[in-house]
Amino acid sequence: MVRIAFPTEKGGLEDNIYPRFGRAPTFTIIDIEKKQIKNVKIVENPGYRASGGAGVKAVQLLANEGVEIVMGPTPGPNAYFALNNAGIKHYPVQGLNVKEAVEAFLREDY
Amino acid sequence: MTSIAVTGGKGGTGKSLVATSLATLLSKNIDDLVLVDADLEGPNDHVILGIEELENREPITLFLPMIDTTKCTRCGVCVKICDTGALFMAGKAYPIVFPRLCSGCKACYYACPYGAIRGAGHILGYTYVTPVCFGGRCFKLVTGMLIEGEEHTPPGVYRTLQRALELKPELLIVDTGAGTGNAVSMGFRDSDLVIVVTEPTPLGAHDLDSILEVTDAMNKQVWLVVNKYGIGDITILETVLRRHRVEKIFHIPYDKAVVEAYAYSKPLIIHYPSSPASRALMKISDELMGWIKH
Repeated sequence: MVRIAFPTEKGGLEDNIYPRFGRAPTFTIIDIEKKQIKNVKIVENPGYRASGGAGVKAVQLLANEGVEIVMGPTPGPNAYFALNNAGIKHYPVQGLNVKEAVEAFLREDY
Repeated sequence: MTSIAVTGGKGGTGKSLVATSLATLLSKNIDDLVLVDADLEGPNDHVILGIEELENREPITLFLPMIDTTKCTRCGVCVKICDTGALFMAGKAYPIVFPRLCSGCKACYYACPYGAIRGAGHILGYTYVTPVCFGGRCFKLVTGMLIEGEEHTPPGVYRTLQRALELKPELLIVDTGAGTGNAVSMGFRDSDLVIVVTEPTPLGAHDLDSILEVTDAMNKQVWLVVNKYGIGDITILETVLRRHRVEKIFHIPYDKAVVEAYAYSKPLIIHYPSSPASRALMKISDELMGWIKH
C-alpha cells in the first residue's frame, strides 16, 4: 500500500490540484493498494490560514498522516527541506485533477 | 517623556521627510531628543539626514529553540504550540528548527514538559545610535535594520524602541514604516500623538483610510499632514476624513526644493529653509512645541 497526498481546494477525486503547495485549503489523501484507489480522505491544511510557516505546517500534517508521496506544485524551500527530512517524496504535477494524477501515478507517467 | 509617532499607511508620502525635519527643528528647543527610524525593512532617515555611516551597532538577538536531545522525549508538544511553523518533527525523530520562521516567542520553551528546550540566539538585525548635529544643536538617531530575508519585523521594531528608551529621551519621535500591520502599529502603540502623513492621490486616500482605522481603534490622538498639497484632488481625502477622528490638519505644498534636497542628501530645512515646504514644516514644529509644553 502507498499513501499519496494532493494539495486541493475542496478535496476529492474530481478536484483540481491546487497551484500552491503550502497554502492549499485541503489535502486529499489517497491509499493505493494493488493499483486500485482504496481510501480517500480529505484533511484541512493548517498552512492555509497560517500567517507564516505554511509549508512546514502542511508537511507536518502530511507526516502525521503517514503520507509517503505528495503530488502537486513545487514546494517552497522550507517545505522542501521538511519533506526531505520526513522522507516524503515529491512528484511534480500541475493542471490535472486528483483522479488524473492518480492515473498518471499508476502509469508511472510523472 | 513625550512620544510622537509619524506614520501614514502608504509608502512615499513623506513620513521620513516630516520625521527628520521635525526632529531637526525641535532639537533647537529640546535637549534630549531621540528620533527612531522604525522602518526596519528599509530604514533611510540617515540618508535623508546626509549621514554616511551609522554608529554604535548592536545586534537584535532573538530567542531560538535548541533541542536538548538528552532530555527530549519526542512528545511533539513544542511542534503543536509553535505558531510560526518553525518546529518540525517527522514521525518519532527529534524536532528540527527552521530559524528564519521562528519569531522568538518562547512558547515552545514554556510548553516543553521536560525542560528540553534551551535558548540559543538568532540575530534578526541590528540597531544603531548615531548622533546628529546641525548648527550646534544635536539629537540622536536610533536606527533598526533587519538582515535581508528576515520576516519577523515586529520583534525587531520592539527592540529598536527599547534601545531608544534606554537613552532616556525627553522627546521621542518614531518614524514608522509604510503599511498598517503589527510592525507599524507597534511603532505608535505607546505614542501620545500620532502624525499621519498622506498625499492627495487615490492611493494616498485609500491607505489613509486604512491607517486611520487603526489609529481610531487604538484611540490615538491624530494630526494629519497632507504632503504634496496642490497636486491631485483634495476632495478624495475629505471623503475619507469624514469617517475618522483627526484633531488637526496641516498642508505641505508640493515643492521642487524637496526633490532637490533628496537628490543631494541635504536636509530640506537646513539647506532650503525659506522654501514653501520648509515653512510648512516649521509651522507644524511650532504647533508641536506648543502642544508638548501644554
